[in-house]
Amino acid sequence: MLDFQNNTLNIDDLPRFETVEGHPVAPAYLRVLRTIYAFWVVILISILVVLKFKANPPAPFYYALISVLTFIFSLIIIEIEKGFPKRKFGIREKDILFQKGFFIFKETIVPYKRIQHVEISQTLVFKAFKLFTLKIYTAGSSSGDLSIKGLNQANADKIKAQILKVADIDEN
Amino acid sequence: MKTDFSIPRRQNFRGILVVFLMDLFKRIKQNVYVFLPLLSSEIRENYLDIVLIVLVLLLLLQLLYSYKSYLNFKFHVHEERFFLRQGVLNFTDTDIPFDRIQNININQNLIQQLLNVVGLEIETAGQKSAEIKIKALSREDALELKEILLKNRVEKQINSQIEEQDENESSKTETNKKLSILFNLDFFQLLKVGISSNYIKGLGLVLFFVSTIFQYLQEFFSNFYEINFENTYLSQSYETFAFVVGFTIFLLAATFIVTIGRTVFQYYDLKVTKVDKDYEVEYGLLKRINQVIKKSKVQVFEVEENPIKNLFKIKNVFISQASSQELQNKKKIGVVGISDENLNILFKSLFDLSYPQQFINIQSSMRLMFRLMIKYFVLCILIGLGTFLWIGLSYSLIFPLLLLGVFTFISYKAIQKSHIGVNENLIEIHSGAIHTNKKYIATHKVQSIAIKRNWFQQQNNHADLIIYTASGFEHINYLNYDEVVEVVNYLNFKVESSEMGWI
Repeated sequence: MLDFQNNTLNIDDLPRFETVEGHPVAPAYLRVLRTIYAFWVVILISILVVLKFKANPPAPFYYALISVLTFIFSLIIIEIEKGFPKRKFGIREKDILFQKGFFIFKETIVPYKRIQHVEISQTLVFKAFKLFTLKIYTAGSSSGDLSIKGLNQANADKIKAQILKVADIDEN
Repeated sequence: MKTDFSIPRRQNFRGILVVFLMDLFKRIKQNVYVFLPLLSSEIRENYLDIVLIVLVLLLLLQLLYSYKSYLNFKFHVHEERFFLRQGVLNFTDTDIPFDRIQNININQNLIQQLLNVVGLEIETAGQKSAEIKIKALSREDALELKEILLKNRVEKQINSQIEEQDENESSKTETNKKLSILFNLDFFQLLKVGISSNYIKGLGLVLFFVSTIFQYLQEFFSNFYEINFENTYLSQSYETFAFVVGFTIFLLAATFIVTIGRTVFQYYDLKVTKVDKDYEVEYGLLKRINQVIKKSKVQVFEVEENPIKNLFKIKNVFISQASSQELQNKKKIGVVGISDENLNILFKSLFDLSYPQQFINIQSSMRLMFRLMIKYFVLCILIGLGTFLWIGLSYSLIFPLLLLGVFTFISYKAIQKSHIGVNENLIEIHSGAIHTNKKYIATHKVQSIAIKRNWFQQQNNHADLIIYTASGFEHINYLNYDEVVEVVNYLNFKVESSEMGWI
């Protein structure tokens, strides 16, 4: 319990965000991430092969390049595989939470009161997998906005409806 | 003579010149490197006439463009909305209802001062914010327009208050403004502010300037003094040493002058006036800024101190208000060279709380050293390489090591001072190493909160805290995770249970 001098900030009864049950995003999103990753690996390998045959760079330089790229790409696949289970969103009475990331884990909390507007969008790739992105805008800087990627249609609509319902209630 | 703003009108006639000159200077500033080849005498001899013809043509084109832009810029006021049509080839129609207007600023840059006109800026809030800039109006017209745009809002507020209270009052059509000057910065105080400010930016500017013209300086000196710079470094070490010392003194003196000069130009004749419940701040020599500080719009209140400032008994205050873009230092309203007494008055009227306040503090951990030192280490290596290529082995070892020592000390001091404080109403974010920076945010003005943990922090129970407001975001790094959780839960509760709005 935080306290100073005579005053006490009574925080025992406060809702605790770290105990919220998080809902995962759609598993299909992991397939999307893996597919895009595989795509780039193929492109990279073909570039390296072409480089070897057309330009024939000196061996130490070439092997250094390969090892650096391998290192970077291994980090990326670790981030994808280990980070995906950590992607969760939570809906509470007065705010919405979203967390993601393996090497850098970021949890963001946006109170409904601060939501300016909500947007559901879909890129071409997402369309193929029937996934959506939910974007929640605040009046703060854009890095404080929520962008929940890889939701299926049901969840996206459900969250948006929930936010609009609660925002309406707040306004009254 | 009252101007009728309900008919579409153009800017003041001198606006043609204002628009032309302002556009011209903007283009020159953006493309100044185009002029650098002219410093070479060879180019001047062979191509001068072509260059001149091209320049004259460009000037004529710019004049035509600016003239058309002036002709097409028409604005008027109708039914509590502000209308503007502008453009040269494409047209843009802007339509702003009075109640979306957050702020009206009247500025005067050097060109406007010479031509005796002012510029009027209309600021709105919201995602797609419109910022209207009228570049040339007479001061009387500008003040009148400002009153029309803001008056209706004040009237509406008064009317709705009267309705709520259900009273019959004879309504006042114009509120008499209570004006009182809070303080005025005299030149001597301004110099004190300049002497006690941060020299790093000045040093950066001097270094940048010197490095860009260094090539031309070399050419210049080699023609006049027949010094061959290539041989000087290796053979004549004494001359080199004297040269380095002289050069360093020159850099330091130039930095000193540039820093003080910039401060004087930026904050010349700073005046803070209390107008009813708001504050109007004006300052500037070449570019006169005039901005209003509204209690409801204020998001972050920043107090800057350092040992020299404490000696002079002054502080700097920067106020950030709600904006739709990220705030750079320029958009913050600067109230520099303020005394403690005036600081308390300003703080109290913006927050309804006395200054200073008591807080519960959470301190950054010394583990932050790792993160800071990695950056400085890389920087020192780069500087070492640079000096090695330029001067020679002996200097390239001493200089970076010295720098590393300095950076270590600065990092240690910075971490010691880095903490976040929380109480019933305010958040205090403390940062800085030699310069101390305290940022105050009302708890109910927080927009969203984030907790960031890299892989190491996830193992050692620490986290970075990020607080988002309508004027940007603030980082507090490497705090204890359990304490961060408490603070986050508390701030969330404060935001969600508060009746007060953030603007």
